[in-house]
Amino acid sequence: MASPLLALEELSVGFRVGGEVLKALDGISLTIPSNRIVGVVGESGSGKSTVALALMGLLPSNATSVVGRMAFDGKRYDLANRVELERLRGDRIAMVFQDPMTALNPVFTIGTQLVDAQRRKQPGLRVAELRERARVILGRVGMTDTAERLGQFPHELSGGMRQRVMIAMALLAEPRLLIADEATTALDVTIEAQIMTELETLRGAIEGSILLVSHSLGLVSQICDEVVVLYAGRVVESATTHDLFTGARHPYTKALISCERPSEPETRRFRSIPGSVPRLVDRPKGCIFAARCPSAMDRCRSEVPPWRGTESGHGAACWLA
Amino acid sequence: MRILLARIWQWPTGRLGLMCVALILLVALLAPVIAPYGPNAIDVKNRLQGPSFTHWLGTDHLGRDLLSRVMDGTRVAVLVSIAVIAIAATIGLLLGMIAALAPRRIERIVLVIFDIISAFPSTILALALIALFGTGVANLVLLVSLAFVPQFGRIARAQTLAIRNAPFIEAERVLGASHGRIVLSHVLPNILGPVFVLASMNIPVVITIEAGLSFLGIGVPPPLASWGSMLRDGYTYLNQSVWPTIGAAGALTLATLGSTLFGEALRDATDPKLQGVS
Amino acid sequence: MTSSGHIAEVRNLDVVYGNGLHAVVGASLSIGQRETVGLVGESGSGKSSLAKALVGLQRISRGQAFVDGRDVAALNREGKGQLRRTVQMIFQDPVSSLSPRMTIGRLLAEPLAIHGVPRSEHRERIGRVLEALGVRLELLEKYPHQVSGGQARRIGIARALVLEPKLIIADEPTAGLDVSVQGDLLNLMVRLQDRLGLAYLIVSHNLGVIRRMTDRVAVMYLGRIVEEGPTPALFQVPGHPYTQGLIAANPVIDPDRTRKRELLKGEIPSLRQPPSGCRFHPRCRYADAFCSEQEPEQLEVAPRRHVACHRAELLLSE
Repeated sequence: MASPLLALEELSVGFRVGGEVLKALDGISLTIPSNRIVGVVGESGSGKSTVALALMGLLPSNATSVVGRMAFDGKRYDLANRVELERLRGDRIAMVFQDPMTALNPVFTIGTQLVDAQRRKQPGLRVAELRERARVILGRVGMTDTAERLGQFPHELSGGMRQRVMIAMALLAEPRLLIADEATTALDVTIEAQIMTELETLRGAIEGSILLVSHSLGLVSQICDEVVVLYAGRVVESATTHDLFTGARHPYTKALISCERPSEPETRRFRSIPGSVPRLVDRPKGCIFAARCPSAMDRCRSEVPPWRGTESGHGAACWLA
Repeated sequence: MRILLARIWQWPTGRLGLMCVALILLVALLAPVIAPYGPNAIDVKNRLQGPSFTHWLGTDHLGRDLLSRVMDGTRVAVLVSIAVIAIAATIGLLLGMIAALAPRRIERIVLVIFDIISAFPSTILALALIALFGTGVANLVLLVSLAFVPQFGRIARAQTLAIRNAPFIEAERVLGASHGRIVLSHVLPNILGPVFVLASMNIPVVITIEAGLSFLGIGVPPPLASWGSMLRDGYTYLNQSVWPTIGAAGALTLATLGSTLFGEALRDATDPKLQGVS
Repeated sequence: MTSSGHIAEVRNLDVVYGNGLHAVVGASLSIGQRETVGLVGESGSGKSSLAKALVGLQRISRGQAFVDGRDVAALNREGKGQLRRTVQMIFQDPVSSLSPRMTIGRLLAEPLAIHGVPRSEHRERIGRVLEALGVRLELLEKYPHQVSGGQARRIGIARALVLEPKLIIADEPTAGLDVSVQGDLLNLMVRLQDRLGLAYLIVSHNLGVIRRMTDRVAVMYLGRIVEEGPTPALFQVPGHPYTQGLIAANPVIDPDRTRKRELLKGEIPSLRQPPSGCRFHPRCRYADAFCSEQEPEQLEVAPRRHVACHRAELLLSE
């Protein structure tokens, strides 16, 4: 098997909040193979956005004790070293955020911003050439009237269009990895579906991979090749999309899926997972999900379950898996 | 309240400001009790003396004890500035909320009034109005506060506009709350914070204006002691003794510096963006 | 008068904003006693404006709205009070819809005070509602920012319920909630409905919720109701191409990619310059020249089922 595009090893991140250090991520390892779309799912508070920010070197200032390494595109990086990550950011790793308005400068036209985004990468090209590249890439992310769009300001575009511009801007850097953190959450489902279709077809174009951070199991199931399930800062299960949604092995994954896809869809009885994701200062002795788990045993409360993987790459951290 | 004071205390400048403000308030409150002499006790034999054990800050041209007069002046400064700010804030709040909630036409009228008042520098405006209406403590307070109404009005209007369509106001409408209830129970409590901060930042400005007007002789009328009139008296006898000026100027500096620092600390303490992640 | 059995009904309703934006055009919809009706559509479809018109938050520009048999626009002061007691709303953002400087206890007593319920009854009525919602009484001393999002949501529902309304309008009730906790809220809503005999109007873009919660659905597009009918039938065979597209775009779990995901092309047009003829024609797969000229009428295609599309027959027979 070829080596993956990105292999993240034992990433831990703590946040200092009012005198305490909350553990947001606790020893996360995951791999992103080349030319794949990998989804990261979990409830709010699971740490899924923190993974994305850590990869970008964009953790907020109250992040403490960042520990972890990654191998990316044949090189090794220390995730505690922001300077190293900064060199990757916007070059070989690009990110699309939930709110495009904060990432676009309101006083410059789309064209100007797309030209500026390429300057570092393409020092030899003239402005007219950069503009033409920008126009072509806008077409690739599904925008029409591209020449006219270049002259418009961010506020003249709809939310969906702005998000497409953000994706175009990320693509202009020709990244090996594109991270989309809830990139379509604020948009209408019809526009979301359009953008997701574009992303799927772009995978070939960027010669790299996409990391899709999302709370929507439906979305992830529809476009990802592999899925990583996070719970309270830990990976509880990872598998190919098909394996995960047809044969989940961790009780948390099973519970999440059954909330979204009920077994008795015609009734008005809804499933939920009782309790909420714990905010952790100290790790519990056993499994982090034990307190909410319907099938928890005594052992789950005293011993941390080991990672059990199959040959096909379907792994889960559960005694029952 | 206690949390707020604790937050102010965490900055060194806030600590200094808080201590100055506390000292000034204490002196203003206790002046008649702790002042060694009556503020107007004349002792011509001992005029224009330097500091000594009997007169810590010396005496003025009539032999009055400067420490006692500075203390009495503190009383005047505190009373005048609090009265001015209280009146200005009340009128400003009222007009500001009216401007934000009333129909367009009324809003325009209120804003034009604010613009007219704030077109003049506040000292000049107060000067002109006092010249027009005459001196006296009551006139001084009323006319100076007029100059400060627009500041409070504008901030009250801006705050009200910001929450006018907030979900919780809409929720009250759905419940059937009357306009009066919405304004008094839901708008007012939520716009007071910034108004208090503005008030505390304006106290030193009012103190300076009062001192300035008194220096010009149209502020607090004699024989009431005011730092401004003390400065003027001291200025007349400057070539004979510097002490009358130093006492009043020191008090004025301490008061304005202290309350400015306090106001800034209060502003930072109430700014949620400076509270870190909660 | 309106036909009996309906708690609320709107006829040919228009909502026009002060800036000239025509948010709702000719909407007709009825909600029966104990019925749950869903209102779906993209942003700018007018679904929120229509809901707000029903609670009196938005002025009705044309047409009529009846609540409990009485014309909302013609109500006097007393009638308006009665309207508030009949129709209440639960808001999308639970924390920010609670006045921040009041304790939960005062917030709950407020609706009663507004409607002149004697003070002596407050305790009992609040207690009864909180018990039905499973909210602990200790919360009464707290301020909105001190309670969790889930608790704030329950407080919001409690405020609506203390007035003992017959119709609750829920604006995106599950917005911002993880799937893992949505179920708790929806189960609670169902339980309250059974216990108190409520009718619901649920405004949401979450088709999964709408499909399971509602008896009937109305689909709005650019200010118009384009389709309306019983939920199971409408989801099984959508009669309007827009409904079809909305359902297809809904991200359901589908790891084997058996469904076609995207049917709606293009952007949502501006409400300021709605397209000619059928407002949906620029994004419609079935549109022809006639669709861009002639606005389709609402047709009753089956009992209590209306579709506004020239191609409805074709779609329904497919």
